[in-house]
Amino acid sequence: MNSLDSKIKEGIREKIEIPLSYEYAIKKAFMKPQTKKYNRLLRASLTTACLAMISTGVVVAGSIISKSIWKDPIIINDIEKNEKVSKIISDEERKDYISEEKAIEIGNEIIKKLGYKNIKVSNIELKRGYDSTYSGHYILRTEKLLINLNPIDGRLEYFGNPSVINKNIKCDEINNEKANNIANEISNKLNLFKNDTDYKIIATKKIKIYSGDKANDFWQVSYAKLYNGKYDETNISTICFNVYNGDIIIYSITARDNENFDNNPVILSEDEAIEIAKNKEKEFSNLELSSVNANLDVKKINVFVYCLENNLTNENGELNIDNILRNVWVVNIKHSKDEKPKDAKLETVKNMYDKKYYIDATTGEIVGGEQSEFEYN
Amino acid sequence: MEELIEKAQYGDEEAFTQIILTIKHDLYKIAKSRISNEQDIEDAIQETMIETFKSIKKLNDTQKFKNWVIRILINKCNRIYRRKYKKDISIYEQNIEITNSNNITDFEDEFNFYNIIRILNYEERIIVILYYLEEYSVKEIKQILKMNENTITTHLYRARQKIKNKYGGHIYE
Repeated sequence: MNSLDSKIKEGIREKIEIPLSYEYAIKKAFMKPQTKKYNRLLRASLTTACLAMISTGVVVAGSIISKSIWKDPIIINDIEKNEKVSKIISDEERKDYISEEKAIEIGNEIIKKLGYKNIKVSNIELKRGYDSTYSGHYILRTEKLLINLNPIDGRLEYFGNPSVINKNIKCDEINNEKANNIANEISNKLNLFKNDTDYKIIATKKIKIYSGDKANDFWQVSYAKLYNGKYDETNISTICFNVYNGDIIIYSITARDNENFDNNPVILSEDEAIEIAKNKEKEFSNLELSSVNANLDVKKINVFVYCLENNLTNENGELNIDNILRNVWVVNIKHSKDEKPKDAKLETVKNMYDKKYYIDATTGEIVGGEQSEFEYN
Repeated sequence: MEELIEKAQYGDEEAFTQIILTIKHDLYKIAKSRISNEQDIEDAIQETMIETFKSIKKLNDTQKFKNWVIRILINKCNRIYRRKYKKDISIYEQNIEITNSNNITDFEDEFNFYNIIRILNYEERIIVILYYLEEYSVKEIKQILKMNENTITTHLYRARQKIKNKYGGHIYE
């Protein structure tokens, strides 16, 4: 071996610094052999915790590593999307659907339960929705009413009577309790929440609905399914009505459900969640943090942080992700900054925006987030 | 080591972990030659451990244990690289950034591990590591990388040339 070889050998064999998290990964490789990839953020946070222990002498509680729930989203570009959306609902899909006759029967039953007399469904269509699932919906019409049904189970998705806003109606003076009782009566009549007692009223308010120069007062009672006292903000059902001269006039009923809640156990501590979020934030921004806090909540997983990590925007196509609701720590991170962000470009959002990170309360994965509204410091 | 391997063959996870810990530095360097993101390296090592442990009973020649683990680790790293870095430029850029942050930028001329791998392409890097760190022969490297012997020799030659061109003045005299 000549001197060049010896030197290379020396250089290659030189001792290099190895992160603590690497050794931790080796020691914990068999904790859950079938799951490997998911808990890297937790590992990172534990490494930080270990470092904190070494430097400060503080003992940090350990965590349990469990199965990953995060799956990278499927990116659908516009061409694929258009092809997909424009497709007629296939016979294969229709196999799982209730028949048109059955849908009409359900529609007529709903109309009857809501007190409309001598009104029957006169038209039915099966259309693909323009949401991320592209699933089908039965659209039923009478002269004035519009009803949407889930074609798989015939569940009411929407009921609307737009004709009621062509007047100038003021509500009778009723209080919130009375409004809630009326809404409950309507939901019970329709068995809107399939006897699921976890659906509760989360808000009751008076709203104005305009039609041209006409303004109509309505009560809007909102329902959501409660999970450990929390609810998914993206799955709110509403009943919108007014009471005029003692008569109940329904404007709309929107029924949403989300059964994809895992009620995953809260294993991760608040401090661990904060550490994970702070570490991630460090990857995006070098601004000093002015405040960090966390609270337990129920959130649908989303692609916010994934997009920041991978420099993805809407221009890259639509990012489809499973509709999953989890117990998460919402870590709210705010920065100290002297100036407002000048735009909402990806790099600016990364560097300057205050953010909320959704940290899965079981696995420690970052399963979503949101950019907080900018507050000038 | 052989005693630990035998224990591992009887299903002792702790013994197996001990073996990996004794060769962790080499495994880290091998993984680092392909992927610089620490989290991905951790995934690669864990996946490697799980796969090798599952089939350790099939290993007849315990002398070849390290060689075998390295081969699997290289495959895991390649898979991660293909899956993530190839299709995602941003991560690749981040990857480079992380590599650069390993004390390289400030001491560009210093002759050390990171500076050596930085000037080589992947094939050269992994061959140099296997050759100089693990002291594998070209024949052994051929078995690990499933690469033609001549190709390995060529990569090795080019790697030497690159290192010589960059550091020749310092390391010859």
